[in-house]
Amino acid sequence: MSTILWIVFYPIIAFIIGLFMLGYARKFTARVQRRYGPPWHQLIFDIVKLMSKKTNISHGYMHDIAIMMLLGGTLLTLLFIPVPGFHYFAQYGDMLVIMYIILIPSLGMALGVGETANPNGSIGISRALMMLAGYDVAFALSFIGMAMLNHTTSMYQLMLIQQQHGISSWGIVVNPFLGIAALIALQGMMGEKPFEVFIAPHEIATGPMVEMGGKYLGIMMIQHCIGVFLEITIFINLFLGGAKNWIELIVKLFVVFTVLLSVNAVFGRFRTDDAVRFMWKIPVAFAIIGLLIVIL
Amino acid sequence: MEYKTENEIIKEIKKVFKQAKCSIKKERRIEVILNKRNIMEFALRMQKNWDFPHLSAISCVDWIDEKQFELVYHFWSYNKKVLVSAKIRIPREKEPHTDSIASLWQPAKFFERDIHEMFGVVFDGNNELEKYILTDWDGPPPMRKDFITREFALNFYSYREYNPEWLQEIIKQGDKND
Amino acid sequence: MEEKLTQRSVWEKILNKLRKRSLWMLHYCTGCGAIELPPTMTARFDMERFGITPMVTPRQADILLITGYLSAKTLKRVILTYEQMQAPKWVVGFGSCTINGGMYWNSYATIKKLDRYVPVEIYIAGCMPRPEAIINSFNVLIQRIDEGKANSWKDYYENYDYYKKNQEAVLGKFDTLVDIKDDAKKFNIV
Repeated sequence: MSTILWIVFYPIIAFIIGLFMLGYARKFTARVQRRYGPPWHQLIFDIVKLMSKKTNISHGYMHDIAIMMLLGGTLLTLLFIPVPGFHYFAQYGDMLVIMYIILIPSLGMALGVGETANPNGSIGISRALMMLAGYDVAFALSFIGMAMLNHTTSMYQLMLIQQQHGISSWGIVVNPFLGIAALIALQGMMGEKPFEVFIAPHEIATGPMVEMGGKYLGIMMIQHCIGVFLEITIFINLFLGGAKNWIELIVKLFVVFTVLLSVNAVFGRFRTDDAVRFMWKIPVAFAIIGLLIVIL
Repeated sequence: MEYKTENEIIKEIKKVFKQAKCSIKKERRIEVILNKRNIMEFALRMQKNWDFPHLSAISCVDWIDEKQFELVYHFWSYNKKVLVSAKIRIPREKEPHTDSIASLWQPAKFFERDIHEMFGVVFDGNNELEKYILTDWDGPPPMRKDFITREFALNFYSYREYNPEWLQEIIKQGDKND
Repeated sequence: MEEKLTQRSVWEKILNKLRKRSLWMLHYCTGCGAIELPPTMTARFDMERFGITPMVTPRQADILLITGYLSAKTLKRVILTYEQMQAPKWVVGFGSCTINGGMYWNSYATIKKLDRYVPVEIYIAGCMPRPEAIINSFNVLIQRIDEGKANSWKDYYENYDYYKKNQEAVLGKFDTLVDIKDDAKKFNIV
């Protein structure tokens, strides 16, 4: 019974936390740029405004279905990640399942954007998929290192192992090379600068979102809120010891997000091939050094 | 002043084109007034024989009282550093025709496109004479001197009613500059 | 255009209060007034604290800023852009060139009165208005949305023949691929 309540309310809680995190992101970026920013709850206004547009422009059946695939893939991935109090599905699906189904939202968006037949969108989505090939290598290598170190691939077990001895058993302290590789790969996964090339507002008119307006963009923003929560929680569960209660989880989320935002606020953008080349050199180098430390 | 290079150039021009009127406007500026039949040969000799490889611009002047258009071709020499302006006159009709020098200089097509849009002169041999500035606007070629822009604008577009008291007083006194 | 005060339901009132805090403007700089937009967006006269950020495609934007004069060539593109935006949308006319011709009042190729081609919500006087004036006018727009008076976008659907006639008088016949009357029926705007 409590499982069903969790399945219903867990995405809503993740959405609300993600909403305030994104509001915090805009405020933080504004303060770095020496101006006041929008209020913390700015995203509520944005999403309500987008969902309440009176006209709708649809490009066909596939366009509508793809947005559902985007949100549905994210919700599916969310259920497999253990949080304090809910790990029902995490027992059945381990990290390999998560790394597989986390690709469904990108593919859904690619299908929808292809239907709109706007060249800016096609350029943007091809860049997004190329970036995916970049950061996934580093992330997968660092995860494999952690799995070999602890002899298990289940995220829930990894979380429990790290919570046994306090800070000295966290993944990032035991093997900092793997942790740093995963942190750089996380910057690419979240689409923060300098790896923001697939959005690129002024060059390709926001890439995949060029033909999305109104309700489509509202659903994409909801997915972005949940996605932010999801990706940082994956990193926290693997390398920062998970969380025993929700207060600790929220504090860790905001700390990691601040580290990512501080790089985002001051950097420009890499080109696609430069970004992929960077991802295949530096984080992969760190991850390989970490793997060698694990093996030897 | 001496003007050595300029006088040499004028001598060379006068050897071939005996009817041309050449004059030195100031240092490094020569003006040559030609007959309109000779412009193609003049341009060819300029480019190949007399070391003027650079066509700076083509411009057009509307002499409405004499009922003629005047086309001015500006040539520049890198070695001698002199600008030669060759002027020809064509009759002022609705669509006057003249030859295009795009066969010698490819970018001249763009200057001729501009002159066609603004004055209405048709260049034979240039197949790229479309409008590029005033697309979606159909009207007479606007740089001709018989096109009064103020009348055209007042008739074609509609304005907002605005008649406050201070403006009416000024209109009653009359505009001293009109 | 007279004020249209319609009876609003409670849901509309709540939506207006939430919608007014997040207006996205289209970063399409039509004339010389666009030089005043970067100072308004950056640190000195911060515009983002009202929720207004620049967006790059018309599908995502609410406000279309016509910053200055419009020649016939630009007018066609502005109409195509305006019809691609999603309702509710507001047009803000910057500067004197949109009011009565401005500096180019006797020019043969610029339009003089923007009201005849797209419905305009607010005009800002000046040549060019300074960032303080721009932010003041955005505040006026936010207030009008709050009170329910900002309904000029409906005028395009209701009086489409009038606007179409004026557009074709300047531009000749052209097709925008957006069926306005069909949209008005489909989304219950008229």
